[in-house]
Parts: sequence; C-alpha cells; structure tokens
Amino acid sequence: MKFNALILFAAILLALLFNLGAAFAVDHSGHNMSGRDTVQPEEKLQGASTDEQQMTGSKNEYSNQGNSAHDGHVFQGSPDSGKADNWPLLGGFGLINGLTLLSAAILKSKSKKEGGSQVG
Amino acid sequence: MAKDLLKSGKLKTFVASKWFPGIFQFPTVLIFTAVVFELLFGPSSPGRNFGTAMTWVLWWPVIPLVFLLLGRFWCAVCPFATLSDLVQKWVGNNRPVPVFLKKYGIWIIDAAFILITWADHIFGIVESPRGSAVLLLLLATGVVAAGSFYERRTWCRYLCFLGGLSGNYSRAGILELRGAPEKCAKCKVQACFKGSDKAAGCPMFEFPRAMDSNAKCNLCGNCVKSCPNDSIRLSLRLPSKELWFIKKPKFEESFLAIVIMGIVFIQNITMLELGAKAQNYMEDLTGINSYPLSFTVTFVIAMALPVLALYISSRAAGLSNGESALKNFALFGYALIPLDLAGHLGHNLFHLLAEIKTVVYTGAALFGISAQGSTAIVGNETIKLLQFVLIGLGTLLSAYTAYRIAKSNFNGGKITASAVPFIGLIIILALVNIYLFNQPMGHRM
Repeated sequence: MKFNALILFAAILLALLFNLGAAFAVDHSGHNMSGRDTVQPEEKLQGASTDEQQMTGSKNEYSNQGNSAHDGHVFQGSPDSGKADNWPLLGGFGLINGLTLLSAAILKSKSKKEGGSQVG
Repeated sequence: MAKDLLKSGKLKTFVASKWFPGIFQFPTVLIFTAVVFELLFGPSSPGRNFGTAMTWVLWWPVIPLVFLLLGRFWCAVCPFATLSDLVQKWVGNNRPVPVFLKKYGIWIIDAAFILITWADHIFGIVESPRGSAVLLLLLATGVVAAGSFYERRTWCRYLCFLGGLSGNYSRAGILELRGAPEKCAKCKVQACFKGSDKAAGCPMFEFPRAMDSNAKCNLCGNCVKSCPNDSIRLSLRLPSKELWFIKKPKFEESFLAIVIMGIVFIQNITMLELGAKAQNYMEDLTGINSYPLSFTVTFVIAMALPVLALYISSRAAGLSNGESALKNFALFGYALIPLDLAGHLGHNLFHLLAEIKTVVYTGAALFGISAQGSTAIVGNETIKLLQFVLIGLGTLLSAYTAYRIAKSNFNGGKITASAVPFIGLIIILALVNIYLFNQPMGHRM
C-alpha cells in the first residue's frame, strides 16, 4: 500500500513540475502576459505624470474633464488584443488534483478495509 | 469586561444558525469561480481582465481592513477553505497534522510570502492574468492535497501564506473571541474542540478555553453552535491590545512582521520612479544586465535591511534589559504589526481608490457593455492625505505597543530603556513609508 501511495505521490509531483515548467515556458516565449513585458514603465507610472501635472498646475489628462479631484487613469473600452487559451494549464492542474484525490480515495478505502486507524 | 456581542439575541441566533457562515461562503465561491475563469480565459491584458481587477484592485486592498475589523473571518468564508471542506467530505483521510508542520509551518508561510513577492516581480503575478491564475491554481492544489490527507483545516492553519498575514493582523484587530473561564472550567465535554451533533470541532485546532490570541480563530461560529454552556464570548477590544500581552512570543511570528514591512517597501519601491533608478544603479554597480538577477539582489537587500534594523534595535535594547537580541527580536517584533497594517493598507489604498472603477468597467465588459473614464474615485492628494493619516495612526499604535510590551516584561528603568530602540526604529520605518507614499506611484492595472 505504501508503495502504491509513493508511486501516486511521485506521479503528482512530476505532473506538477511538468505543469509549472509548461506554464513558465509559455511565459518566456516572447508573447507572455507578464507585467514585466507588457506594461511599459512610462505606462505604469501614470500617477507620476498625473502628480507632476497637478504640481505644475497643468491640465490633468487623466481626470474627468480637468477635475483635479479625480486622478487614476482612463479606462478605455476598446476591445482587448486577445483572449487567453489556458486550457492546457487548467488541464494540467486538473490532472494533478485528480491524481491527488484519487490517491486520497484509495488510501481512504484501504484504511476502511483495514479497520481504519484514522483520527477525527 | 468588554460587552459580549453574542448577548445580542439576533447576532447569537444568526451565528448559531445553520446558515452561518455558509451564507457568505456561497457567494465567495461563485465570485472566485468567475474570477478564476476570467483569469484563465478572459482578456490577456490585466487592465481589461475582471479577474485581475477583482483580485488585485478590490480584494487584496480590502482584505487588511477586513482583518482589522473582523479578525480572520475571511478565512471562514474563503473559497479555498470551502474547497478544503468539500475535499475532506469526499475523500478526506483525516490524518493528524505532521509534527514538522506544527513546528515549522510558520517558517513555510514566511518563505512562501517572500517567494510569492519575488515571483510576482520575476514572472508577473499581479499584472498578469495567467500569472494570477497559476498562483490561485497552485494554492488550490495545496489545499486539495492538505484536505485529502490531513484533518480539519491543516492548510489554513499551518500553510496558507495569507493565513500567516491574517494571523498577525488579527492580533491587532478589534474583535476577540474567548471562552468564559468560569464556565469552561466546569466543562467536561469540550464540544468546541471536539465537535457535536450541531457542528464540527474547531477547524483551526483552537480550544477557546485556552485561547489568548485571535491569530488563529476564524470566527466560523462552530464553537458557538456546539458549546452546551453558552460560554463563548465575542467582544470588541482596542486595536493592537492583544499585542501588549503576548505570553509566548515566537521569533518566526516577529520575523513575519518585519518581513511584511520589507514586502510593503518592495511593493512601494517597484511602483516608483525611484525603484527604476535603484534597479539601474544596481545593474551599473554589479554589472548584471539580467533583470531577474539584479532584481533578486535588490530584493534581498530591501528585505534584509528591515530585519537587520530590528536586530540592531534588539541588541541595543539588550544592553539595558539584559535579554538576548533574539529574545528581544521575538518579543518586540510584534510591536511592528500595527505599522505593518498601516503601511499595507496605505499602499493598497492607492490602488483601491485610484483604480477601483476598473472593477466596474471590466465587470460591465463581461456583459458586453463598453465603458470608459477615469478609474479613480478620489484624487491623488486625498489618497496621500489618507495614507499619511494611516501611517500616523500605525506609528502611534506601534510605538505604544512597544512601550506596553516593555511594561509587561520589565520593571523600573528597564521599561523605557527597552522600548526606546524600538520606538526609534518604528519612527524611522514610518518616515520611510511617508517618503515612499509621497512619491508618484504607478498603477497596478
């Protein structure tokens, strides 16, 4: 029984490693969605320009019609460049969790058969 | 003695009812499912993704406030906790918690917190729907594993990184759950811990009779339902009061307190022009052109400096109170928690108030409604003012906590002499926070 549990545990661990590897491999493939690459410093530091504009008294381009009480940045409702396809990622995690649940179910039924030395 | 909120019939009835806390769990599971779906299959730009907006602009900034006002109640209704309960119901083996987890769980939490912050800057989590999804799925995997094999909410108590944070912040919170000593002393059944036909035993392994902290209690109400003696009291207390009388200080909990300070600094610095300059300086100094490497060096320095500063304060206090630096570190590290909370809230207040409408816009987009406009609900100057007020309050509470800790543990002239190095450190950390908040900050989305 211990051997079976060990094999299942190893399978889960391997699946997790492969899955994480795959996740990060995609992230480094040049069109990743990591903030490091997609969000440029000048874009990120919008608050900076807003503040500078406020300090110099110039019109705040991010405010509502020059209302300096509202900074932030403008959300534009233009369509997104694309939607992600993360089915493989979800499938990978589903597999890991499925294997975990399976191994737990096997252990549970085995414990029941053996009379159980469970707590709680 | 503070007023028992459960004396009010309506609240007691509600907490003892079968609807509590399920009535809150159901919506959080629904929203969480929608968030994960959006993270995985929604727009790939974080600023347009409902999942990232909900998680990092709404939930993450609000959660420290929830800990302050309601203790760890979030943990009772957290979707991961619900997942853990379901897994246990289906396939749970209910094995005892491994000893190493009981002993080193908080170190795992400390390490996980540091690792997640580091990974956020290296791989992208907050600003990446995919990265956020990977984080949530990894957490779900841990929850499923813990729920499959171990009893009660092992994950929540011993492994959840947010649980470590919420534990620390709840100590500074205003809610306190305890058993009435005179009633508990006569109790033979201990249904609060063991459970009854009305509810399961405490999922967080707490025994209200012996509780002297709210760091682990998630206010799930199971003990209220099960107690045959009507012994459980829920009362209001002064913020940070629990920290004044820590009986068994733990080095790792104080370490987490100072680590959180470092993390808030990192989160602030990386959103400032100053951060970019520091990064460039580091690259010039070390000759490292790789972002991950140079960031890691900056990260280690930024994380180590507050820890080192606390250690130096502990050494200085040791000169007057005769205790070792490590003991003073463990004892007085708790005094930083109010300032941690203030810094964390202050940093996130910017994202909450300057970006909150992103949640509305991205939510509307789910239904095909195109909206545009400013994401802020108040101006930057107002946010700054609120941040300074928060830091001011946090500094006062932390400084007073340092004094009360000294008063609880030392006598005579040792009280002031022990507290002064830590009050000095608290003031320095507060000034750093104020300086950082005074810089123009970038948005998350």
